[in-house]
Amino acid sequence: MKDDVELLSTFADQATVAIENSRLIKKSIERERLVQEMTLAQEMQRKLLPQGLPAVRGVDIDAISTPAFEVGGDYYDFVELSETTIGVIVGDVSGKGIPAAFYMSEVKGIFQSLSALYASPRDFMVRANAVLSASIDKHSFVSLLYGILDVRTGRFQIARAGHCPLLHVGRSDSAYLRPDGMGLGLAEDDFFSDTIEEHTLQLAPGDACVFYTDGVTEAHRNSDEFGYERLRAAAGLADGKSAARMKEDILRAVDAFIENESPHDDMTLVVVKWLGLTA
Amino acid sequence: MSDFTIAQRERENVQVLELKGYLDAHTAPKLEEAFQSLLNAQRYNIIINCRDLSYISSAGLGVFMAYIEDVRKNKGDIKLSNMSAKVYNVFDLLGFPLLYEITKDEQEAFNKFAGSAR
Repeated sequence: MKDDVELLSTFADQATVAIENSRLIKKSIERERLVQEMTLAQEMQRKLLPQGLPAVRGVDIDAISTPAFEVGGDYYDFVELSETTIGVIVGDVSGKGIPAAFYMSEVKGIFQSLSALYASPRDFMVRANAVLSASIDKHSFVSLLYGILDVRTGRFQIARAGHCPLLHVGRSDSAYLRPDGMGLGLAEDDFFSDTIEEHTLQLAPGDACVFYTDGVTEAHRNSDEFGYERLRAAAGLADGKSAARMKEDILRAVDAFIENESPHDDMTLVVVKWLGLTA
Repeated sequence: MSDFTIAQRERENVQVLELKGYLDAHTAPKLEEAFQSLLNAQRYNIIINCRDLSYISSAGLGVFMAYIEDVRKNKGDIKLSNMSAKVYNVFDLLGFPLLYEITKDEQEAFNKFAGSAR
């Protein structure tokens, strides 16, 4: 009798272990699948970013977007609107993960199709808001900074929809440019349209403009942020250095600031330098 | 990193949520939950006291957008107060001051509720 009880008890123990093992295996397969899907989302998102830099005479451009550990919502893109005008856009989709990746692909579609139709960045923003508002869920929104550069004249038309201000780097000074404008997806057409202004910046030959996302200014060491002043200092002046060099200088300054810790958020930088060559 | 807490209290007919710490994609569900329970209890006059809010990300801002419509439909409002300059800048860049009343201190927000009830 006693032997029977012991035998049964041993069987029961073994059954418990087997059930527990099977549960753990299932959980681990599930986790593996999620990791695979996340990796796939990250890969797809990378493919949505430009695979090269535009080669337009008279302008020197460099760009980088480094995703943080998770799938984020940073976006940048270029469009050659004519032989002498180029559009540059940088944006950030709210939130993280797969939804952010989906909205980012929508923003890319909107940009690639609407930018060709609107010669004014402000008009583009108003239309983009109408399209996006119809599909975006109410706790999501998108910030964008869009500029159209005429490479013959150095005239840079800028509109900002809730995004970080543009940094304009000149030969003797640098300053932030922050035209009014709320993020896309936050308000209906008329309300939104009233908030958006367009600014025209006249560049001097050699001037650079830095587009970036908040992953740069909010890069932090403990509770201290990299911030706007350090970004301005890192960009330096338009003293003949290339767009690539200015980008490297900024990245190096951010890395030194966060003491080589891995960044908390995506970081995107686009440097547009007008060479002022007239054909 | 993801430390975020909410303390809730009532001032007459106004619910005050005091936010503390980092409000980001990871901690936003906590705030969503707090809003949801206020709405379930039909409490629509809400002040968000941001005195101890050290950081807010876009996902955090999104929470306010998710609930404002329902709150206003029920003749209430979400007003925000006591923001640090750093937190205010995040709201301001996106144009949130055009959508929400943001006051210097909680009393001012409270007075606005009291004023509109009269």
